[in-house]
Amino acid sequence: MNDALFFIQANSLMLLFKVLILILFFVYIIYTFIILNRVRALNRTIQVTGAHASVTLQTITWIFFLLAVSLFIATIVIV
Amino acid sequence: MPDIFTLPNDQQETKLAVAPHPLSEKNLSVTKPSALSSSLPDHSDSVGLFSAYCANPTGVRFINQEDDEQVVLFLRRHFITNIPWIGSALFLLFVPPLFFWVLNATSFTMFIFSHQFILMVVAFYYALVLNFALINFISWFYNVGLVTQKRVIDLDSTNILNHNLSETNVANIVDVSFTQRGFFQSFFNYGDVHIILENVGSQFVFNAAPKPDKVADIISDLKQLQGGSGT
Repeated sequence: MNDALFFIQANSLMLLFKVLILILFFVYIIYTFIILNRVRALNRTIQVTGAHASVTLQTITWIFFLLAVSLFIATIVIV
Repeated sequence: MPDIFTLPNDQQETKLAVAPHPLSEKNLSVTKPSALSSSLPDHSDSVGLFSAYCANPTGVRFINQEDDEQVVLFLRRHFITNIPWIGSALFLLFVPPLFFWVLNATSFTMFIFSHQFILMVVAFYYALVLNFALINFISWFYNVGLVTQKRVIDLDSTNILNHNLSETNVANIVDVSFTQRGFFQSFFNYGDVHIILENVGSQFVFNAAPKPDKVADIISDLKQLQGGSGT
């Protein structure tokens, strides 16, 4: 009986943590999306075409956004 | 077979003469005002990802730039001002290995968490650290001061949620000064350039600009070219 109770409690706790980290990843996705849009807006204001600097930075922000989405999906699948 | 028509030698030379390049020395002297020739270099530098000071730059465009408007000076904060956040980010990168090393050393186990969960928490942590570095870099990258032959533009990106673009005509500039405080600013030759405008109490400040003496000199020269009473 005690073992079963411990199992349920541990599983509930794990579920709670999983939901918590999913919420954190979701907030992180929104945050990276805000950064992505900010960089796009700033690139409209000033364009540093030398060494493709502006394009490189925008690509990096895209990578961050996609990374955040990937981590969110990975959390759902793995944990 | 005799030639039907041959050009005289002098005309052949004229025809073979190469047309002057648009950025040749002669043309540059036309586009670059003579009063600025002492302050600005003859060559043009391309603005790169980490450029903080570029006189007579190429590869930079800004919103509402006029066709005949040429960027004379491109400024960001000196790269050395990024050292604090780079150091913090590097330190934060080493925190998880240190944390797990301490756990191992003390034989403490986080038995309640699965390995997958711990992996995702660590991944989230590293994502946050990289984001911290990215935001700081973006704030530095888009904190730009531009000086053209017509106006001065200051783009401030204080945080990720807002940015501010201010500009003024060179003719509105009353006074240009710069300050260098402390050991690092003197050693790495950067400082704050203050551009006082005609409107009482309003000024532009290029924070931590590299070579502030040259910046102030170029802006003063531009002011003189505009026919004002430059300093």
